[in-house]
Amino acid sequence: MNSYLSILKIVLHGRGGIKILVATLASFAFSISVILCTFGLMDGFDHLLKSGLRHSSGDILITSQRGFFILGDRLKQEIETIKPKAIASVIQTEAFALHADKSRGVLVRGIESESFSLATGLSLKIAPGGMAIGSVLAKDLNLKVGDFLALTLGRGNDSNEALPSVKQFRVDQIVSHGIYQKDLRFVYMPRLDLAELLGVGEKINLVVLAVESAAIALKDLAPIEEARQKLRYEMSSEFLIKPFWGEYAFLIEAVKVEKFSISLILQLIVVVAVFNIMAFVIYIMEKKAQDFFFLRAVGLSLGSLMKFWLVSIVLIWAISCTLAHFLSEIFNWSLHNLSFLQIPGEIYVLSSLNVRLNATAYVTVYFVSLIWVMIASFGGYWRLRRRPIIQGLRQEFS
Amino acid sequence: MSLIQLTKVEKTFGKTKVLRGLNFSIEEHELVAIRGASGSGKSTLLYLLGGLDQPTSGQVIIDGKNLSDMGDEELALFRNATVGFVFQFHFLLPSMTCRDNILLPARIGGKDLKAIEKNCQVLADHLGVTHCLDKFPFEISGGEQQRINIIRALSLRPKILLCDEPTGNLDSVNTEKVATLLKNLAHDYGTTLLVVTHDDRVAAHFPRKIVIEDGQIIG
Repeated sequence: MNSYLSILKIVLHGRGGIKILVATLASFAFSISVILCTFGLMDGFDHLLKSGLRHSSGDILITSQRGFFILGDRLKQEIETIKPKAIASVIQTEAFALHADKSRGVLVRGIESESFSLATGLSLKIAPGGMAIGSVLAKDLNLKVGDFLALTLGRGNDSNEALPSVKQFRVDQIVSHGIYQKDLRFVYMPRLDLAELLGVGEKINLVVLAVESAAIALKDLAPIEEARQKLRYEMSSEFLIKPFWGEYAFLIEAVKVEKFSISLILQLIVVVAVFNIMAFVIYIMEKKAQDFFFLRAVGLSLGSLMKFWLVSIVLIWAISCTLAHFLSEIFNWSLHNLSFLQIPGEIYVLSSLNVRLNATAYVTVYFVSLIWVMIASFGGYWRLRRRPIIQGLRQEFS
Repeated sequence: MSLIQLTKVEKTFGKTKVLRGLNFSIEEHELVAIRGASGSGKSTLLYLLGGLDQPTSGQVIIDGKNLSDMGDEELALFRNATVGFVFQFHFLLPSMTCRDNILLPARIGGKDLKAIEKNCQVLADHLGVTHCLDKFPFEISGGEQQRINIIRALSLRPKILLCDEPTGNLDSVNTEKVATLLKNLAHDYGTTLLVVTHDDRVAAHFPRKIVIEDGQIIG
């Protein structure tokens, strides 16, 4: 340890040495954090999109080609074959929301708060005569809890009695799914209220199922796909059975492809970081090679030199990784708190972005960076090791 | 047994044979000058004795140990503890003060710095370079640099002091001073001294002279 510190003191002696080391650490940390943040953004997008979709759709959605249907015993039995964690009966219809001088096309969902919350994880408590609306819609129509919002609903086209009806509802709750379009369009109200307005009685037109507990973040989509296929086998072809991601499957697939493409582009950043490390090594070789050869002449062994190299590289790497982690955290905090970093949800689907990094991402990025830093610095070490001491002394001090 | 024993030592660089079957021995506490013209192989011989290089063939035995049989770790320890080097180009590291330069071998060897610094302070007083200790090498004269170099070489009280043209860069006054100094210090420290030189005035200070020409001992 004492010997290591002595050599380090020699290497870092002079202001230039410390400055270039700090610059190397900063640039390497920055490069690692850029890679981490990019992967984190991709994973965050994927996670937010999926959890947002789950919050509105549960795990599986069942609709009928005939429109409305009754969730009878037979249908329930077929659904029970996959042992769902929750089942929610929903009526879903389109409407216009009117407030002040503005109107918006919305998707009204008639739900039973408890079962729907269990099936989706979206916490809803709506009293009769009340409604819950998406956060973007509330902002758009300048609504707050306690305000009234009028809905124009169609009642079919059988007779004059089926003309559109307009009714006001109290805003009981403002909810956020995390998906811009859903926060702009979704309106929830008690199923009985909506059934009465539409005159559909006990009929529904959507069943929402939770295959896994909605409170737990999904790591794997396979169980849901498996359950969907089982239901497909059990249920009549009249019913359409879709997984929650079906609506945005193209987007999730696009993120996957983009993640791969960006990981290729990020190699450029890795190369820049490697150049920085090589520049540091070249600096050390140019400025400090004579010191190293002299140290060898007065008793520094190759083993000690190797130890010094390894410890230095691991330290550079570890400090850079720690700094990179903090930089990523700062970026994530900025994404949530700085207004100029908020993304336009109407373009990017999500209302906000999040850096989400799991252990695999950290291990992959950190391990690859360690390999790179070792490769980039090995040349310098090998040059010192390969050259005979006396040749090095004569050349470096000549 | 002799402290230094060379048997049929040869050294080749590419196709050039620099040393051709050298045989000699040096006893403990001996003061020896190795003389020869430029390119005669005297410096190469010194580096072989100091474990900085290996012979192409033959044996270099120091204190009963064959240097060719030593691994890198053992050789590094030998260079640190058994020999001290005084080079023509003083090899004082420009980024460090003279004091740090002197303590460098002790730091590498993991020695007790306080005790060694105390000894070096006494030596610096004796050689009249105390005022140089906290200066950088470029801030002191050539003669002072060489005296710092000598203090560093003696800092760990080595058994053998190897000097490669120690007066090569000095004027005649300093040459005389350094030669006398080396002789006296070797005597005081009980060190075996080998000085490579092409200067007859320097060689004249030492009782034994080995003359090398074209890689062979001729006298």
